[in-house]
Amino acid sequence: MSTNNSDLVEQFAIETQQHLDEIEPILFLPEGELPDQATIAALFRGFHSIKGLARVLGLRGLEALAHHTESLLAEVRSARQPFTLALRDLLLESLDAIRTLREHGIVGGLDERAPPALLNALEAALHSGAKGATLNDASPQVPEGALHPDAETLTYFAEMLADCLPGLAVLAGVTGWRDQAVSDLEMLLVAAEKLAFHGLSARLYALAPTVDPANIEPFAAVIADARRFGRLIEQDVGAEAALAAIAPLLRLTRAEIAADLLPALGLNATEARTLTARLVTIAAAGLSDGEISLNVMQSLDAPAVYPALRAALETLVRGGSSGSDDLLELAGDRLREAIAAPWVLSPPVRKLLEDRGIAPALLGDLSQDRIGPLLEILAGSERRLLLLTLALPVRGARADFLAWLNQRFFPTAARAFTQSGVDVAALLVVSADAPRAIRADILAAYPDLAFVDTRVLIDDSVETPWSPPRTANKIRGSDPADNQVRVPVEILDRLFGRIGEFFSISSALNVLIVDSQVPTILHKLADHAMIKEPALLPMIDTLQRQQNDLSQVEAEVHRLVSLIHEATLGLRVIPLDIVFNRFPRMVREFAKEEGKQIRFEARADGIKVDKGMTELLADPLMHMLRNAVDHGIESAAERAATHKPPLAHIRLSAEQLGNRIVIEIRDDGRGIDSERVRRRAVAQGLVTDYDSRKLSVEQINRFIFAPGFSTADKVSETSGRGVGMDVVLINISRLGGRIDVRTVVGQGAIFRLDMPLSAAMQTVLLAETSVQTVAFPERMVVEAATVQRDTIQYVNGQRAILHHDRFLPLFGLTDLLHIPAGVDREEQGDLSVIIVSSGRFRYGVEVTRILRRHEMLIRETHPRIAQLPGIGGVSTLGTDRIVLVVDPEGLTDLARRAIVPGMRVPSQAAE
Amino acid sequence: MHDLLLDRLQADFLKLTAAIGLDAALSAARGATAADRLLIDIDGCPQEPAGVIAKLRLVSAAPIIVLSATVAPGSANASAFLQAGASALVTKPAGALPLVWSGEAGEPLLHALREALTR
Repeated sequence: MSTNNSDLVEQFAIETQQHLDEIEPILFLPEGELPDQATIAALFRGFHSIKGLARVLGLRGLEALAHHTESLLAEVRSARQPFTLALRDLLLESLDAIRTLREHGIVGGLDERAPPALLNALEAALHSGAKGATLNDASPQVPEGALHPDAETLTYFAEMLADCLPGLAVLAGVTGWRDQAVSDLEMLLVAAEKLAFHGLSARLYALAPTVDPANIEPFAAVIADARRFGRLIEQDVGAEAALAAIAPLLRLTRAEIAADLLPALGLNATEARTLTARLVTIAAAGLSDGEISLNVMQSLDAPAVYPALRAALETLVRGGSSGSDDLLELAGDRLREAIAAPWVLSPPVRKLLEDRGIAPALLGDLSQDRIGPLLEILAGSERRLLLLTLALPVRGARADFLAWLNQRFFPTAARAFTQSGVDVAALLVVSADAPRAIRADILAAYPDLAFVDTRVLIDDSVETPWSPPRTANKIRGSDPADNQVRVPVEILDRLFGRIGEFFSISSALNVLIVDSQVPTILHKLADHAMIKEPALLPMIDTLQRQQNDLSQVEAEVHRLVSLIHEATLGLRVIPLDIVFNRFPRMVREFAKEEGKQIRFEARADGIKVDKGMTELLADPLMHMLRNAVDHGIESAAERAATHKPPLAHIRLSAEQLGNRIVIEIRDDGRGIDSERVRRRAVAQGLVTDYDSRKLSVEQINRFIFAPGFSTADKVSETSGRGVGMDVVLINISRLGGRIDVRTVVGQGAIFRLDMPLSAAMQTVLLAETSVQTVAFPERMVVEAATVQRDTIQYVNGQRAILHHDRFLPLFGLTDLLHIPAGVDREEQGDLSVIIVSSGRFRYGVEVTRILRRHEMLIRETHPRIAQLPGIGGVSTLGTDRIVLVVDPEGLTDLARRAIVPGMRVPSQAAE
Repeated sequence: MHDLLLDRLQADFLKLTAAIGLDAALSAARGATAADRLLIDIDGCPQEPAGVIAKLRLVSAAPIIVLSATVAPGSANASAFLQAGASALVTKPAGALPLVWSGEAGEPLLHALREALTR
């Protein structure tokens, strides 16, 4: 046994005792009563846990015994063996032996072995298949195509992988404990062989140290395999951790491969293929921006897309070892666009199919040849879409039959399936002939077919192999157990409105009670009465008790009302799709107006948001889309001149990350020219020329959100007047969110809106300056601290405090926000400081007093207030106190600008 | 119908084992070595295609070639299958019906298959 760690031993003792206590009563069941499936599972788990615990402490004898017992129970659990009384006795014996070994291990530190007789008995029981009363009749259900009959083994292997995989990074060149990695690798190899995972074991073998030790790609292949395995059995296998260990190296390797691939394009097909195969392996290992590699693989065979492919590869090479790049995504998207272009169904064709009850996605990918006839229908020809359903002839004649069908009808889509035991084919055909004529035709050529059915598709009542699955609509009529009610929206809105008001009042009441002076005053009175008027004490006591009761009841009331209110917030949610639905049409019209070819994609992922939020989102989004079409996307001529595909791309996507929503608008247009923005900002007097040159690119780009700002040379119907982006910013701040813009000149721009899912409630830290109450959103607050005045230092003229061994700049809140400081500024005593952080910048904000945490309902903010730097909104506390809510990014900006030059601060770009 | 395909390919390759059903496929895959090739028509599988490919990749050292009508370049399926472990994808014409293996309809497909199998 290894070194005695008394904590470990103690923990081992406690936990094993627990398990033994659980196991024992089960085994002492009255005679004649057999345990059920759940109980067997519990037994199994108990022994399994004991085994694990023993392993940690290095008690190998105990571990082996527990292992044998556990294996035996596994047999019983999978009903390969019945639970007989003989078995139970054996288990009891095993239990006793475990107890003994355990005790000797704990007290004496001895690693003893179980008596050989017992082990033999267990082994014998394991391999016998005694007949007798079985526990359950059902034979073990092994799903078809399972990787291994015993799911438990798979879980065990997954755990092994999770433990060992990250450590194997050592074999790929990461520094670490090599011997451990090698022995882990051997263990995994053995396990993989046992499971007959020959593919995985072959790849694991490639990692062995006898092979070139610094080659990172075999490791990526292993991670890819592990990742797939983990997904199949829905368990973590350590793939993420392993990937993280080598991600930078992997990206470098990928860049090198891309660099090698560029010259091979179009010249050396074999080499190109080998290189892309390597790229695909790396992508499968799980790099977040791996999609681009997959697209490269698919575009190798299409010389037409080589320009886009080259551009994508160059981006990969440049991407190198840096982290995930939006450029990579942009390049990857464009590549995918280019290769998918010939195969994509245009909206009119989709609609054509959907109107006839066909789900386009079920057709698979159609080539241009096949889509052609559909387009003819749209153009208004005589042709129509028909569905032919035919029984297939006997096997020998099928090939000819199918060839004939293909030649005669040139079907758009065809599918074979079996119906009531008969092999059937369904074809979608575009033809001007009448169905009956077609039927006659077929039967004339093949009179022996079991049946032939032809019909024209004009409505969605036909059941085809391509129909979308039946929705619940058709079934609802016969379902009496509908527990839903329909309520007019107005009634609900009114109800929620009342609840909202109720909640506000309750919050006000809550503040009154919490901030109340009554307890302090009563206390003082009590002190006073103690000396002067003792007779009053009982009465004061009563008052105090009543105050307590009041306080408790109020707390409960507030809690309940909050819950109700929160519940109603969730009821007013509507899917974001509804907001997004109108955009495709809108964008199409904008594009038509501007004479530009734009492909627009909107994805909401089924996210639902509060109704109020959608109302605030719709306008900004519309405006930004309009901007993208008008100013972002170049004209066709310009795009041709810059070698961009004529079809521009705008994508609107929404994603939920935890309790935040991220909405992105991406375009592949001309991007934002920071220099123009800068010059415009100077021209409009928003900043001096001198100052503007000191700003970073991101800071300059934020000027587009200033009111009245516009770099458009001409004003279109709605955009170009500069009345837009500032409203966008205000609306988003109202929702408690922020906007970021990333752009590369000539390549496009990404606008990213990030806001909390529930815009209503935010948790804040309340603080006071001498005249104003200010709220700091929780997400920016690191700590509330008291700082002694004499510990404040001056670093290059800037006030700073020492916090956790770091110097943080210190600012006064009133200074930063330019709010009045009040006459009685404290000049002695300790300072109340709130340590906040935004990105990597951490700093201290001095306030007069720190109050408490509070949940606040953020109200609609007047636009002018939202524009004030550093302020994100206002709210009320109680009925009379107005609270300013800080905007974390805004305040940080102010702090940065206020900082006395000379003090080092992490640059914004590094966040 | 796949028999037709197998017949045509038999001429060029050595032993061919066919398997119907996932269990048989998995055990055939296990027997394959790195010098062999696995060809699977994924449209005929009732199970989820990416999962099937992933399983085959785990248990077999042989490269996997996936034949499907839904793997047009740029499609979601193409990316998904490549990520699931397919070594190569071959597109067949729309619909699950394989057509005759000669003439302008079938020849490209055969050619693509041969090429994929010999890489």
